[in-house]
Amino acid sequence: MRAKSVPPEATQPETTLSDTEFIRYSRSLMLADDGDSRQLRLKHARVLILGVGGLGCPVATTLVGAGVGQLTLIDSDKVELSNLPRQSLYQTGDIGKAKAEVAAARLRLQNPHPRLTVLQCRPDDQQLRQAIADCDVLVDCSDNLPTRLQLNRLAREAGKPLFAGAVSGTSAQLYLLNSQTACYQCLVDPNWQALQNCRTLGVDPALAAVTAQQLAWLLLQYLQATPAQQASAVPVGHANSVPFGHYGRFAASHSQIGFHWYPLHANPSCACCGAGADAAQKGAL
Amino acid sequence: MLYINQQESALEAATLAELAEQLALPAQGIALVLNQQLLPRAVWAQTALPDSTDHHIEIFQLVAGG
Repeated sequence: MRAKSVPPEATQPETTLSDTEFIRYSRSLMLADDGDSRQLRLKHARVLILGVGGLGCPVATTLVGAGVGQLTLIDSDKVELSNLPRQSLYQTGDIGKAKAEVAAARLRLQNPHPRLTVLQCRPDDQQLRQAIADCDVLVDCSDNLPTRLQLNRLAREAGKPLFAGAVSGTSAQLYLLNSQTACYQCLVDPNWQALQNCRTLGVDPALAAVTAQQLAWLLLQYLQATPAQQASAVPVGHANSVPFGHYGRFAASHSQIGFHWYPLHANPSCACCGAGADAAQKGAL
Repeated sequence: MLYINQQESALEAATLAELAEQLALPAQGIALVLNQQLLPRAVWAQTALPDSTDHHIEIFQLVAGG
């Protein structure tokens, strides 16, 4: 594993935006009366993105562009030719290069202010715990079930919110979970041999982008909110709502195009968050 | 009356688990939404579908790519 960290170009006081930041983010600052405070909260935010592919590229691009202060990018893959239609941080000349490294380099060109950390590996629990400890919010943009279950389990263990997207074929889904809600393993059998991925089903590049930007929008809503706002339960559909405990499914019909959100009920015997987890803990003692 | 993915269904089932069996749903990788609530498979057997009301069910494949 290699971990690289590049400090921001200029150290800024924690409580203010620099002149260049003020100009850079001026269009965002206009959006609310407390725009400065919201932008500063974004500057102090620490986000982990697991998977820098079809979802992770646009999510990272939007977060870095918007001014998130610290981003940890984790991916073990190398750039492949078939990635290029939807993974916009990579170019033809990057084929064969480490995705996380290339992504971080492009993002630094986009915005020099955020602190970017790269883990070019498939992390084991210890590595992932260490990375999670340095972040406030976890984003799952991975492409396989074992990794999703791993991040779900460690997010629950750390008590940190998990924002996740999944896309394959013409299907796209999102789930937003925290320690007060059901977990991903409540829904998904860990023994499922998930074949519903981009290698087997293909993927619609525009749908991947739509899904990633819906996820990024929700992340920015959350990261710019005050701690009190983050903790409050806002009804789904409210402009500032982050529907924790919900599973979103993209659907397009004649009357509606977008994500439909469903409350995810907990599995009382879930081995990750429910009675099954309690039993497993007791058994381990 | 049951509505499955917006279509009226003639199936009759006492519980979600019975319905899943009649539909021969795969054992894994499926999400089932009953009246806008996403219910894990573990509670399907305890989730009744009384005749007295309509039930709107959506079934979709979970995906894991990214």
